[in-house]
Amino acid sequence: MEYSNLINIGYAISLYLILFSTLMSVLELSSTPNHYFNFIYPKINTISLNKRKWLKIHKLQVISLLFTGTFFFLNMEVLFKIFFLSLTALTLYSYINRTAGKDGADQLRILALLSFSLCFLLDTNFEKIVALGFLGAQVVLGYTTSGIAKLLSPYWRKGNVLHLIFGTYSYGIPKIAKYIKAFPKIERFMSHSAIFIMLAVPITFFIPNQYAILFALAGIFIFHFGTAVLMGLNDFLYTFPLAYPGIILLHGLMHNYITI
Amino acid sequence: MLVFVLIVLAIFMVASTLYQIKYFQKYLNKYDKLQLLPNYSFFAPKPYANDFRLVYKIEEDPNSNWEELDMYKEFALKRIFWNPFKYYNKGMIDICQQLLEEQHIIQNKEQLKSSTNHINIILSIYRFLKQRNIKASALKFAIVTSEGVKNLKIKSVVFDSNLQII
Repeated sequence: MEYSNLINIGYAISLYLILFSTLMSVLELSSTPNHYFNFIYPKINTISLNKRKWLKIHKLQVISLLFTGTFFFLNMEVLFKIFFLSLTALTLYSYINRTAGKDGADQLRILALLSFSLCFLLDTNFEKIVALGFLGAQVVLGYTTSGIAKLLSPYWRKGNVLHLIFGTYSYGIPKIAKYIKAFPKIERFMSHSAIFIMLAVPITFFIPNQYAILFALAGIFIFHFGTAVLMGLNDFLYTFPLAYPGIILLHGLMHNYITI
Repeated sequence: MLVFVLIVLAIFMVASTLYQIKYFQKYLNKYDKLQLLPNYSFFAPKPYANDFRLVYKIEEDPNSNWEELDMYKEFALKRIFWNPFKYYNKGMIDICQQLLEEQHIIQNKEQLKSSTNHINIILSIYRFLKQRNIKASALKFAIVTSEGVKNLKIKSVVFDSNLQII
């Protein structure tokens, strides 16, 4: 496939995943019950509940992202950029005010929005390459850190931590916790697999074979699917893949099967 | 312009790499006003194995029961696509942790009453009661740590507030 087409497809996939991830996050935040709201937006200005204000902001985010997606599809560059920038500004405002309840997916989402916005300053060719490359590098760093931190942890190496995590009501399923506690070999296998799958991404990144990196990315995607089912971390499932086109691009540039 | 963008992104990349090392985190936090630097260690080195539970009582009477703020959700497959509860859950964990950190610094409970985290917990319980048409003029709360789900084991009381008029 021609190089510029490859970049355009990668950019479009990444962009639509950013929009989908932001849409899901906004809809989920908007549907939070009233008495939970202070745990999500804990900044207090007045004693009255400010949920209505946040619903307005979330509504504007939805409008911005729908227009962004539409204008990108219609190839109307100026309007696409205007709505994308407004989406970034609104999401950043919401992100800054949420001083609690943020996770890694929220951070990657805001980094994606900010890096895409910053790269609007560049001409079309570099805009896409730099934005995708930055996100790819961030997520390779993420999987490397997570893999190494687990590899160095005696708890993870011993392989008996998963029943504790699944035994919590925050990230657990009681039946699974009971089951894996009864079968320590399965628990050890699952713990060690998590380390292996995460480290497979940075390792295959340095192997000059595109199938190896694709295989590693498929593995980590299945891992995210598993954590969405078992731990309820669904936003990782549809946020982290937004950087996969960037990882493939960087891998291609590094091993010369994609050339500028 | 290309050079400017590359420099900004390169600085951020270096900072986020250093941020993965605990030693640098407190220094970098000073400059990271927007909280953009990500910590990618996820459940490592020591995985999260305890739950915080928030309990309250609306009378000073020592014989009255402690009630739990409704915050447990049964597993449902739909959470692969739809799980708004995770934001509340993570927010609650963060607020409880922040309040415990404040407690180490400010040991006077009367002063702690003015903490944002303390006020937010009181407000959340107040709204929870209001939704259920339970009248209360004063309440106190406690944060306990627990282990397990069905076979719940209370581990310790990590925070207990004074009675507060609402």
